[in-house]
Amino acid sequence: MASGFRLGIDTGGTFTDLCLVDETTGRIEVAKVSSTPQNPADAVINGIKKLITEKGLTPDQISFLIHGTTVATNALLEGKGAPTALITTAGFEDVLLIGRQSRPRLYDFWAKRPTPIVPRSLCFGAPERIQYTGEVLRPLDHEAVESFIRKIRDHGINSIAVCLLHAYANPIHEQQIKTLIQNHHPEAFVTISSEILPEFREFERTSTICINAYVMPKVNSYVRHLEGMLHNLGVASELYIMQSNGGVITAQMARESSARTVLSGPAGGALIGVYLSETLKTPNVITIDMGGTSSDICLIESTQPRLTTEADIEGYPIKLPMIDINTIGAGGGSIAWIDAGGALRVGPRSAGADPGPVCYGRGGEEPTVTDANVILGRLNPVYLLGGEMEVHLDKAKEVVTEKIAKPLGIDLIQAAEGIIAVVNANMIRGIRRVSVERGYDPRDFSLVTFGGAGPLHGVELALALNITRVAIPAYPGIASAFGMLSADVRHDYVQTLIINSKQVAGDRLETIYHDLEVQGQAQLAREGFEGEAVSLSRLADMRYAGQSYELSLPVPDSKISTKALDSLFKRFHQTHQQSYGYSRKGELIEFVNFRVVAQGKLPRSRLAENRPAGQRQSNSSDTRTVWFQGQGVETPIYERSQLVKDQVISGPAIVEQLDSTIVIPPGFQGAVEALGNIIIEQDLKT
Amino acid sequence: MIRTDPITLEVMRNAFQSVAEEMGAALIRTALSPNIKDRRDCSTGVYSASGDLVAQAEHIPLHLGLMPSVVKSTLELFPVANLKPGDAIITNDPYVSGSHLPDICIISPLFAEDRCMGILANLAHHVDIGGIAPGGMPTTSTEIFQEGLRIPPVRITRQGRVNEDLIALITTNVRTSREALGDIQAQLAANNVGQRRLKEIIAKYGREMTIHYMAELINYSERQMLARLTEMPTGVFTFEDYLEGDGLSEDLLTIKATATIGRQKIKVDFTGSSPQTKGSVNCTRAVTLACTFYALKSAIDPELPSTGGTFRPVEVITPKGSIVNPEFPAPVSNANINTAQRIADVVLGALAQCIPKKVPAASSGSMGLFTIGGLDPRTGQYYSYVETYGGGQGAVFNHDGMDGVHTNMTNTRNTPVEVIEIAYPLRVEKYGLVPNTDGPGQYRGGLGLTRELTVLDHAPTMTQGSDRLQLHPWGLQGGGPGGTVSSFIEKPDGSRELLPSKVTRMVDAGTRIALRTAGGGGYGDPKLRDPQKVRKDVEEGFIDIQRAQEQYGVVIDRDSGEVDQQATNELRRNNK
Repeated sequence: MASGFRLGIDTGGTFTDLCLVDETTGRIEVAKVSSTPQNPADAVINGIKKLITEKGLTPDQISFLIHGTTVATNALLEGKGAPTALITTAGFEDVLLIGRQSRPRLYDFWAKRPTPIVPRSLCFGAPERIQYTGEVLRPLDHEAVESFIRKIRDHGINSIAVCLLHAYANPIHEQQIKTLIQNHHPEAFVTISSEILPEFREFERTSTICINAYVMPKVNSYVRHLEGMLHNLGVASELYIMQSNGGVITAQMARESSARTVLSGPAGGALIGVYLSETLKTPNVITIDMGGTSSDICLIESTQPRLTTEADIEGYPIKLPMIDINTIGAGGGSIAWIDAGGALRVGPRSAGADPGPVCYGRGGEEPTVTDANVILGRLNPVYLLGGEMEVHLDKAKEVVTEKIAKPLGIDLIQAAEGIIAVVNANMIRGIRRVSVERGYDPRDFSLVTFGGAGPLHGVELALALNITRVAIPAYPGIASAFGMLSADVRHDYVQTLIINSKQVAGDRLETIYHDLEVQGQAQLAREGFEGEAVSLSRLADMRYAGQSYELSLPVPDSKISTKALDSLFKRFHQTHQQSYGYSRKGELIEFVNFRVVAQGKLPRSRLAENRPAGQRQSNSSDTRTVWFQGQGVETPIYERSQLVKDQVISGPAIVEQLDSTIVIPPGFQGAVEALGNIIIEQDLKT
Repeated sequence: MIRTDPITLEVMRNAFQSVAEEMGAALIRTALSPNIKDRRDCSTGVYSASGDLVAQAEHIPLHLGLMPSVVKSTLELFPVANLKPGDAIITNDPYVSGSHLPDICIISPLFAEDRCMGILANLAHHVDIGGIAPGGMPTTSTEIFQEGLRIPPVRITRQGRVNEDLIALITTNVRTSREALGDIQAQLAANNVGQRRLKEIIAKYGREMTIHYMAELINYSERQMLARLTEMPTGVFTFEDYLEGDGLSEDLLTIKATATIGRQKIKVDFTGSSPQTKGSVNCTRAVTLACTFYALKSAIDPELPSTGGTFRPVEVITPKGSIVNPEFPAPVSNANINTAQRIADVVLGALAQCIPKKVPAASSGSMGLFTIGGLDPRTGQYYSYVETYGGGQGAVFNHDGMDGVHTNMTNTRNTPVEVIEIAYPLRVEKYGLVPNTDGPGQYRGGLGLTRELTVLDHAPTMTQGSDRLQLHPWGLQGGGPGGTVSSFIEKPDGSRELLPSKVTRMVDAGTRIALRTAGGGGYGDPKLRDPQKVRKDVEEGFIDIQRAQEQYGVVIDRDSGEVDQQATNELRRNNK
């Protein structure tokens, strides 16, 4: 029997969330503490202290600790990373400035590409040239590079990105430059592309490498600092960090490959979808994390989150695999307004957390989605956060009346329902983007909604998309911290080699995969994974010769025979047919990238059941008027912590908990599942 | 009578926009050629039964006003009354108010029982359309017949059945028949997606509501445009600019626009523009409309919706037989590359007099077409590399122009250096910005681009389709002009030769082709530019010290790299 405690900690903009699982009993404890943006580690430590004090634990009982951090994200978004220099091939110093030569918005003269992370004056062109075949056309000019390094050092720059043309085909010059840097500027952080991302297409690769170099010093000092604090506190577990690809890495790896943590937090959110898809036996889910200013939408197919290698963060491309998250500007704080054509619009402007919605009484003057939910009785019109925050219903009513209802000539309830209908319409478009536009039918999915505002809107969204089932996790307010606990350690490896189906030989592929696998195994071994706990899978990015986009296909890990190659090509045709509607049998197929995913399996917690059935079912604690489709209905209010396993709640009903509220409209019913998750489906009796 | 409610209006707007976007995603996903798949040279739209645009997903601005024209004119020839469920019409005829021949449009009505409820349409740029040059964009054509296969509006499907005879006719007449077939199939599939989605909307809201809100969304866009119009000064504003030849001669061609801004109406009159020319730079009325609408939308309010109502208050006059509305059988294939950019420049130039703070100085002014092709010595196969190069963006009030970027009517992505070298027998020697091509100004114009390629072991044919070699992109409000195009070739013997702006020629193995595009114009007096920004531009190598001094009146100390404030003040005072 497992023992100890597993702890997930997610740093957010306002709160740092903690989720603790007792491995012996399977019980879950959660906590929220205010974030400390100046030094996010303080909130992490505060949270741990609070949680263990409350529960009477000692730090050495924490046997596993996983952390979602925004240090890399914020360094990038706020432009507060380390001053970074780039060494590239001479003649291509402007690679970051030109990018893909396109502008971000078609009609907006003021919309600019983001300023490159490395200024032009710190981009150095090394005299050297490697061919796409890997052949050295012009050897590296060591003296020139040494003079660059001296300049970089004299400028006080301590982080250097190295990305040469075709280095994926031959890393020798990058390695030589790394050695030169280590000799001449030993305190500098160095990132070379052939180590982090040996994949072709120079702009995206350079961008990724520069982002890594840019966030690396910050991530390093943060991780080191936090490790020290955890050690001093006496936490038994080493520190694990959540990566953007939904896997976990050790703190050591996060220090070297810092760019892998830029979507650390949201990835945890998507993982709660993975967890629910496994426990509820619904392999396909769409997750919606609706917070104050925005919503993160993610598609999970066959219990695997969809990954992308084409993500960008505010215009900075990152080519490393990441969970494909579509973020839209729709949240509880989104502001409702009337446009010049007389239509009701919601967002993308948001009142955020400060001043926040009008009903918070903190100076907000614009009507928001939260205000509409309060007016409709869906959110508690007296207090929120378990009584910690007073709700100013009158103020919300006044603002929605003056700014929306009167100008549109409708009544208050119509206006509030209108705000909800419009924000839902925006979200539906966002959901269709990750599903329909990528070839998925939303009807094949369940919806998982969480975040402070998600469970208020879930059923209406599902209804509009013909989705029949909505699941709301037991702790929708700390979903990321919880989701992280179901992650495994994961490392992605890639090698570009462009070779077509005629040229290719099984043993060549075998060598490439073998090399990548050895890297993965060695890394996992250093992290203490071996035997059954290690899982290696091979992928190949393939395309028809001449195409410029690839499909990623799993490759069996048995020896690659001619027969295995033939069946791989056959599967490529099939997948192409499925994804793009046609295939070209008999056409030359090209391999482009070879990938290995190395996973170290972490144990899953066995969670305790909710208050078991048989205990007295909770009755509603109260009722209030809630508006559904223009009708005020006296609606029972339930306290979530009082619900028992297998309890079924018929709509209309409201289920409240500390940081989230579930709306079950008339005609629907919510069933409390063993682990406390609530599943809402149409009530067939009505 | 249905009462329009502002909430349903917004919900329906989202729904129709989703239909257009999902059609676009389906088209891009299932298309065969990189033109559509990568460069996204395609657009999709939802139209009312009368052919008015309700929602559009355009990926390049050129299609903004283009497809609505094609749909309208096609429906005039093919009234909905003559169509049956499952019919789809195909056309690429510039003289039915289309673009150039490679742009093929497919139009599908949707019926509910016997009533036409709406129309789904898409437009896609095909790799080839036959004619004298691969790609359907010859620089030397003198009549439309040389430019490729012209498809009048005809049914490509009849009650759901594809007209295989017609497909055979098309694929027989183009060089890349498989791509053509694949892309046409993708276009049909995209309209099917749109029809299915529109049916869902009808099932949910009912026929009357759907039709009502289609019309209301169009009215709503018109109201938005009118609301913006009331904020603009009224008056008459004229601007003219030139195209440097039609590919056959280097005579300047005039494009002139007179914008009359009224309280409820905008008139843009192109009277005074040159007559149509022998070469292929003639721009159909549809493309002229697209460029005009682009300029208006960008300058007035980028958030204006793309529907048939937005430009209802706009009247565009294009004299028949002119370069902005040629008569059959004038060639039109290259209008999109340069003429379209110049029309946008001219309309923006006129608007700059009316709303000076909302209009940028001239951008690089060409799509910078470069093509090269021949036998790849590595494989013995024919190859063709086609790319359009960005340049400097014109500066705008309070912002510098972007460097090395696509502007105005196009926004296609570049081909990575590593991809060029893998795919073609070419070596890229340099890809970067061209210093000192900025239009000086309080806000400076963007820099032009350079790409230098060495031709390896073969002798290919290359084309540059460019403009702004003689006439600089203009500045605004005292800003100076951007640098011109300055491409050249360097032969194996080391001798250099300047390339004309429009040229098709053979080059020898070992030749280095250096393409250089124009910069963007500056905005505001360069002597008012913050000296620290000038210093930064020098430090970053965007301009040199001499230019800082001569154009911006900023003296930079060579040793320290800092601004010599006293010398700068003096210089700026004396230059007043």
